[in-house]
Amino acid sequence: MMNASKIKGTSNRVMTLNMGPQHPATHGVLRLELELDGETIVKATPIIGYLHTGVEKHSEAKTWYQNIVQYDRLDYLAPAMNNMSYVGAVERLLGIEAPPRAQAIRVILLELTRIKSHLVWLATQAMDLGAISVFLYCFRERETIIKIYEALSGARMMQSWICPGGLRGDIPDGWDEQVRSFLVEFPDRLREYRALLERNPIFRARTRRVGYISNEESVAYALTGPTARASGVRYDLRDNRPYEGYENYDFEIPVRTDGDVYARYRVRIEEMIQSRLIALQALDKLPGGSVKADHPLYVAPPREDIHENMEALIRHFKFYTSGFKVPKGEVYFATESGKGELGFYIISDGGEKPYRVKVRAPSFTNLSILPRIAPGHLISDLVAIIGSLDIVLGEIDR
Amino acid sequence: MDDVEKKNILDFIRNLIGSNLINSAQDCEGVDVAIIDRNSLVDVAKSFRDNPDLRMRHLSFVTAIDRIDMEKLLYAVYEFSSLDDDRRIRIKVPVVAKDPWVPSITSIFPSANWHEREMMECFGIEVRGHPDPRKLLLPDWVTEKPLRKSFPSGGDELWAFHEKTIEMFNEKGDYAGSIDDDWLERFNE
Repeated sequence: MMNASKIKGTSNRVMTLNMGPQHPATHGVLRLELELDGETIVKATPIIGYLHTGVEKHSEAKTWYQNIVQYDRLDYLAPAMNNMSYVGAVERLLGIEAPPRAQAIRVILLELTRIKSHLVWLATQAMDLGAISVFLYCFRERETIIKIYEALSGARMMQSWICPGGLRGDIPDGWDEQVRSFLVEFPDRLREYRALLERNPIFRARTRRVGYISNEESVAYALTGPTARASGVRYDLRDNRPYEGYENYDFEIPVRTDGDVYARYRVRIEEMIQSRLIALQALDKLPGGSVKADHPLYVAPPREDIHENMEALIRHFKFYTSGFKVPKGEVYFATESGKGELGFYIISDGGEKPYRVKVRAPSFTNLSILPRIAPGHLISDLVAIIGSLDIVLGEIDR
Repeated sequence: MDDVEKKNILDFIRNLIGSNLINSAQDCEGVDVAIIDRNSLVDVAKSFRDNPDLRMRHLSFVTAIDRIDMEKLLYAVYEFSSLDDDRRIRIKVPVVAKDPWVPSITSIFPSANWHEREMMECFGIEVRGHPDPRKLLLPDWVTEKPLRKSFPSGGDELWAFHEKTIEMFNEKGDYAGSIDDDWLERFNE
């Protein structure tokens, strides 16, 4: 895992140590070059790019509809968030809007995904600090959410259920009850995790006053999401620039000002409670009607029609082979993912494929503060700090 | 915020830099896009951070667009927004393809650091005054600029690039770039 590399000629005290890319506490393939004085970090340099797959370049070679599936793989812990950001941007370019029922189901999917994403963060953060039982409990609840995805789409993780103009299909019978039963029992589960961690003196000692980020630093480094809100920056795109009808839901935005690892832990825990409330509200007032906008070009015809209607068959064939053309223009649309501001900056030249897609990944920007906050900490604290930034390398390296 | 305030940001830029505001437009959501000369970029960024009336303190991202085929230009793009409300503005800086450079704004917005490094390696736009102009996502040996339109996105041309890369590895005998030779020597001593 860690191998001592060299002792610098100038000072015998500073040692360079390589951490990762296969270190379990670096959450994927993050590599850190650490300069150490004893066990204290003098300098930390993240080296990224081990998962670079050229997603932005690939986007220019795929049609608008084909692109949806590859963005699932960016933040693979919260695929629906990536779908939503991309599809929202494309919808704004096309000038279409999803019907109310589709918007409400999207909100349920997004909030379930936020809980799922935070559960993985909680599991790994606790495991990095030695509390392995929390990991097992969190993955138990995550499995329930994955089963909910599976009941909806057949896919456990990368469901790609959100598409321009609405959803790929309506929810199956009994799905809303499945979601509701999970949401009803979730607070009890959350209480279990909190009892395991918050009363644990080791967890408290290792997270309090560790990895402090001030309000000014958070703004300067453009941190977003729970990481920023734990430093007192009240920036949540569900509230600042609402989308999918988030302005109609009643929820709070947890903000703390301590700025340490423990504050980030508390913000995420409180966010899970709020996500649950939003999802319940959306379930309660789920509107009726269609889940697809009615547009002859941008939305695929209903599956039933193509057996009876020649026109629908032609449309279906055209839609899935050559796709559709998107009017000339550019747009930047960002949503609040579990990790922060996840945005897509898309330029269309009026063709069947995007001219340029830029993914604004929250983890990418959030990780860039690490060289600033790591010095002065011990290596074991660095593990807690990386965990608290909640990074996923799929979207950092893209 | 309403339209009046949105207009104010453009007016503010116009007052600040005068004719260096080359053009302005709106994107399909109605967000203002200001096209400015690269010599004014640092001034604009500074006023976004410091001016108490503007308070556009959040730099979402920095990226670039390749428009060499149409205009012989590359554009560097900077998206700013307010942390308090929903105001946004996009700054575009055109650079000629023969002499592609922009000034660095990392000293003003530290968040631009990695974004500018990515822009440098993927588009070949030099960012002058950057504190750490190393490659970020790509390995050190890559000289191509993958996000330019001249770099293939598929087909035989991309295969040619892959084959060239494999050949280079075979000649070197190891995966170059990960370990430098004098380090190995010192380690073996």
